[in-house]
Parts: sequence; structure tokens; C-alpha cells
Amino acid sequence: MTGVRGPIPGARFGVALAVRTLPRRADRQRFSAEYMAELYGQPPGAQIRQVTGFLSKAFALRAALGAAPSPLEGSAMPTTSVPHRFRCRVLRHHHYRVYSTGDGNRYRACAFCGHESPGIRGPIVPFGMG
Amino acid sequence: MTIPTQLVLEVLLAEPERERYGLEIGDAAELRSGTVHPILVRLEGVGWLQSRWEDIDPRAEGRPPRRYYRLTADGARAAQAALARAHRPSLARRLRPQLGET
Repeated sequence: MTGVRGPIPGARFGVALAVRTLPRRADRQRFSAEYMAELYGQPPGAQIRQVTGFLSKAFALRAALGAAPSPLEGSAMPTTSVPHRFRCRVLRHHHYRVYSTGDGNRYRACAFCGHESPGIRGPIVPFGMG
Repeated sequence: MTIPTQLVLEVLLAEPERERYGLEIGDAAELRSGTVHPILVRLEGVGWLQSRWEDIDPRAEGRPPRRYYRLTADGARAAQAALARAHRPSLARRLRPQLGET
């Protein structure tokens, strides 16, 4: 490559630092290449200004990438979080019910949050104090 | 919609068929460097933009390929509608008497 001024070492280091915050390797490679390509042909001062902007918005870029998951990832990774209602999470008031496992054992667990009661054979209180 | 996002969309809508790279969009929108790429990623994530690597011979050009962005057809329509909504004055402003009116 000749004729066009390439990024100065400081700018290269800044780009490497800016993309380091990105979660996925593919994103780091993409934005490293994209930022580097945009630095070509610019004077050193402009490169430093440009890289300063990349660094200052590194976490905004990370958030933007996190907000837009790839369709593949979205379908392959269903959410595993269990919605906990306020009464379970804060007041520890669970709504226990008796469930059976596949091998026939019984256990009590909250119908809303899944919290298992330590006493299996105790009385079952519909809106009992967990 | 944030003001920088509106500025980016206005630049892209000025010539919807034209592909531009990040720095070019930022310069046209008069935004600071680094501000543009998170906006482009979000717009691409919702399907308003598509991007591709420039198809060049790096040895011949003397530089690596750039990432080019352009509005999709759906994105152009959605962006126009969104900008129209953003530029529409609020109900309170429309009802408020303007200077010079009686």
C-alpha cells in the first residue's frame, strides 16, 4: 500500500483500545478494520481527534451492539430469566404448590418464582409465609 | 429519536441510493467522530440500514476497504416518517399563540 498516509502508531493503539470493550470477537475485528480504514489518508492531528472520539464512544458502541443481537443469536439463546413478582422477591411471600418429579417424588415450590420449600411434607399454605 | 440520529438520517435521506462510510456521514451530519458508529449499528439492527465492505484492491488503492452504509427501502420510508414525526411541533406548541399573532 503506497500513496495514502496510514494510521500513526498512536492512532492504531487507540483503535485497539476502543474496540477492546466490544463483547464479540467478530465485532472487534469488524470495527478495528472499519476504524483503521477511516483513518487512512488523514493527517496525524485528525487521526488523533478521530481516535479520541472512538474511545469516548466505545461504551456507546458496545451498548448499541448489545441492543441489536444477531437474529441467529436471538433464536438460539432464549431468555432464561424467571420473572419474580414483588411479593416473592422482596416480601418472601411464596405461593407454594405441590409438584411431582419425573421419578414420582413430590416437592413444594412457589408457583410464581419456582422457589423450593425446604419442607416437603409440611402443610401447604396457599399464600403462606415463605 | 435523538438529535444525532435525526442528523444521520437526514444525511442518508438526502441521497438514499448513495452509499457512504462512517466518517463521511459524520462529516456531513457535523457530528463528532465516534458518535456516528453506534447510531449506524442501531439503525442497522432495526433493518433501516444495510452495510457492506467496499470491493476494492487494497494494493491498488493504497488503503484497506471501507465499510459502506445505505438505507434499505423500508428504512428510507420509516426514516422519512420518523423525521416527519420528530419535526412536527407538539400540540402545546401548535396551540400556543405565536409572536405577532393576535
